[in-house]
Amino acid sequence: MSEEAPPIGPRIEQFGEKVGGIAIILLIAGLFGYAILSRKPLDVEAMAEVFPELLQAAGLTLGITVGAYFAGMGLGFLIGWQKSSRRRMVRAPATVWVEALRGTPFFVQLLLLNALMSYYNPGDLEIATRVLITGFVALFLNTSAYQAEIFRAGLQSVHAGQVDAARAIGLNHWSAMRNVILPQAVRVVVPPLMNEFIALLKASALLSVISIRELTYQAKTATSFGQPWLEISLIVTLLYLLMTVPLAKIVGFFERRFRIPGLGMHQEPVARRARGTRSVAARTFGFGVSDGVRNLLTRRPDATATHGADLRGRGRRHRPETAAD
Amino acid sequence: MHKWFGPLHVLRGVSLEVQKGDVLVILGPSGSGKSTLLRCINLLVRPDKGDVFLEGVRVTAPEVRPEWVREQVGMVFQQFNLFSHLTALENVTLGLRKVRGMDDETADEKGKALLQRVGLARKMDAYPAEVSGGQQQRVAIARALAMDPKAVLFDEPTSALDPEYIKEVLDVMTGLAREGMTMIVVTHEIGFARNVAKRVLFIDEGVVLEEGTADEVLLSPKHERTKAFMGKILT
Repeated sequence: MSEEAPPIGPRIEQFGEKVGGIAIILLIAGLFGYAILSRKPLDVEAMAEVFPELLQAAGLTLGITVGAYFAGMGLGFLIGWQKSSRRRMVRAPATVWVEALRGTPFFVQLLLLNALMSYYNPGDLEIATRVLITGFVALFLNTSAYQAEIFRAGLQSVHAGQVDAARAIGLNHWSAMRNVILPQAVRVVVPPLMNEFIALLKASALLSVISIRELTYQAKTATSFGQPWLEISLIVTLLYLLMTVPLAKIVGFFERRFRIPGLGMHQEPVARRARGTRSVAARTFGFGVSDGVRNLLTRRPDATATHGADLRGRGRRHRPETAAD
Repeated sequence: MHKWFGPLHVLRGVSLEVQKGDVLVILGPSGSGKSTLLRCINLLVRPDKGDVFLEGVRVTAPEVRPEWVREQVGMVFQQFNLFSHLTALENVTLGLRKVRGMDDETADEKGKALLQRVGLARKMDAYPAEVSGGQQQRVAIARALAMDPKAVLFDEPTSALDPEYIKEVLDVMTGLAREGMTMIVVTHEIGFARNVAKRVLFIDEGVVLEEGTADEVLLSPKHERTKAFMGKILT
């Protein structure tokens, strides 16, 4: 390191690679598409006709998945926490819960729950409402088990020495959890949690068998009313992709944000952000969500610098890099 | 003091006393109960029998909050155990902010002064994984000092370090001792013991075998097992 470090490769090159890659894929797809379509063209009119109702159904798919996912996250966290307990009496029920839900097919769980609900029909619900609730609860219970395992692994990934150190400076159990264990666990937990969301979204297609009018159900209905299979399947596939692929992008973004400098396999040549804008994990849990989220959304770490300090009376997090001493 | 781990009798009646401002060095082969002894003192582990007194207060009494005790007695670990998601400065100030409820400004000021004291003012924004082992351990010492402890426990603070970093950590500890900090140090650093320790304790299999000044214990041990141990580490 005698002179200046070489400059980090310009982003434009990476961008060019992407554009080139996409162009090649489009070209190949176009050639194939032309070869097929020229013999038997797609019924574009039918596609346009069913699209609105499929889009609406996709909305239900997304809605019920998101709802069940986050509800399952709450329960899953509690169960995962239980599972990481040292006491067997606390651990045992959590283990049974996870094993039962993980060890049976979701399809079977859905059918069982549906059978129970239609047999007892608590609250004398209308059928449409009842199946909707059934589907939601089935997704919710199922994902809670998987998420419990994710949270357990995350909590257990935190080194025991970290807890010792937290206790040694006088933090109590809850404070250690909040300020030391959780912020470190979050990092580990984000990627598998996202996997779980995608898996859940795809599993929601099974809700069609209990006639919830989500995307897959709507597609089947349309075909039974004489709409063309291939065209509809294409739209449905595309709609599922449109829901899952952007998520991967969002998660990648969060992963980068939660990265702890110096940890991980690669020393990434990331420019150091200004002081007080990093370690989102710590900030989110330890120092209030609002600034952290605002920074995440704006991607401009310093955007809140001045008024943030005034509002919250916490200049420390917002001071620009001084590099004093 | 006694401690069992299941059927294993780790501490079999260890008794010790440290005066304010003194440095006590504890020696002993691995598995002799040194770490457990330290962890019993700040109640990270509760002794099964026996009591700990801090300035005359029986802190093992059930009505004493262990958190309160740990605030008064700092600890430095063999593996540093810095909070990996926090910068050096945040590591030092976490206790001030979360236990003492100190505001960020004041805590930062104090944290910076402490990092200055261990010679790491320039590294205050670095994360633990970005600095050397010796620097990590110095941050850990600053973190322990942040709570203005009445005593600091050192659990083999240099055993996990590369040789080139040992000196910088020992220097900080020596400085601390000269300033009159009460310290209990588990270490195999004989030089440190001879320079700094007021008294040295040799522990084996959960009992104190030897006790005296550094020279007494190190150079003219009475017990066979102490002799054998010294023979091994002095050569």
